[in-house]
Amino acid sequence: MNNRFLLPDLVRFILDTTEDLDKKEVETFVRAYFTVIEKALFEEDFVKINNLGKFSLQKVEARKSINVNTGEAFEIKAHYKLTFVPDVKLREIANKPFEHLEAIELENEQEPIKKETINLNKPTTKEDNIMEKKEKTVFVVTDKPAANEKKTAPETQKAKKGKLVAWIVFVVVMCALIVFALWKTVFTGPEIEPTITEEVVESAPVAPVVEEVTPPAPKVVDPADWETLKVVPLQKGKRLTLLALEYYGNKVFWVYIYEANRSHIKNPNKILAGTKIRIPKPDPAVINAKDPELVRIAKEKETKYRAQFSK
Amino acid sequence: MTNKEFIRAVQLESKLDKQKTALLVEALNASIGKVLSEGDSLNIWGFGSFELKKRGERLSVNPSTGKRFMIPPKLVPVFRPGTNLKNKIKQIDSDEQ
Repeated sequence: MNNRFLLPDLVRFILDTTEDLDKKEVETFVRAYFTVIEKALFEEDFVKINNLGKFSLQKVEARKSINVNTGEAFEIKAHYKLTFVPDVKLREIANKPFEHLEAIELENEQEPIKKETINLNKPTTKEDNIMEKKEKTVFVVTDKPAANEKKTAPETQKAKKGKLVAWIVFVVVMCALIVFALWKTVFTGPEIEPTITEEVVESAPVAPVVEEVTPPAPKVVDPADWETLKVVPLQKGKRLTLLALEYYGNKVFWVYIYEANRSHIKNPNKILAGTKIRIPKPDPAVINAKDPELVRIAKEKETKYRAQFSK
Repeated sequence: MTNKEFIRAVQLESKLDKQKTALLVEALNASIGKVLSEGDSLNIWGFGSFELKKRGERLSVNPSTGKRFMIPPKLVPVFRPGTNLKNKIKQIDSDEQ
């Protein structure tokens, strides 16, 4: 048990099996045997040897992975792996010590009860056997991705260095921006604050954030800046379109309600009942149910949002 | 490559006659089987090793009848490619096919 035999041992075993064999001949044969397998692996799809098994190369598609240590995403390149599917005969020989064991049907949730094999449902056990055979036939030897990385490392090192520099620059710029912003708020804060308090309380803290998020529109319209007409909790079954119809006279203008509340509505199709909706005071230059041009602009926005959230 | 083609290729490589090659291939396969059946492993330098692996017992449920079976443990032959072979496989250009 647990001996590790090498090629000379294999030669010895072969010599034991058959008489009248020349040791040198067997040695050259054994070497030829394995070199042929190796060569054929690269030239053909598979190598099948009766009573032993089938060797074949299988392609592993490229896939994305994440470096566990740094969290950086990288791609594992497409590569090949060697699979060996042992022949049924070899499997039977290998499993000799456990040959006598058979699948046991369990009666209860807990207690495994040994049953006579005659009582077993024959077709089902067969099925089971096939299933387990299928499972055990594929033994895949994968190339370690770590080793793969090693190989590609020298090529990508330069690129990595460039990336690193770019990152550092980016981080420094970001830090500078943050410091600048903080400094600005600290120094100019007292001046701005009163103007904010004059405005409607609810919208004020939200506004700057939303401004950044708004995608470029033909006319810069940000309802988040508008004065509040009313704040209503959304009732069950109600939608933004109904609110728009109620307050603005046209369903299409729901987009502006959404834009005003974008900070706490992720998806306008799925708003939790009871969410407080701020209805901005309509700006007649933007919201007017009687102006077909304004309705058209709103419709454009609507189609844009529909496409964005219907995914 | 089928078994027949394989024996032919080995014959050409080793320059033995056809009958002897077929006989030796059988003997070699049987030897590998014998090594594994005794719980040993066979290591061919540069190529790989044939080993035995134990698969533990497990529960299996027949989905159609709901019957539960205890699948016994089993020993399974496994081939692990050696470093040499592994490196060669790794160097195959994955775009060529």
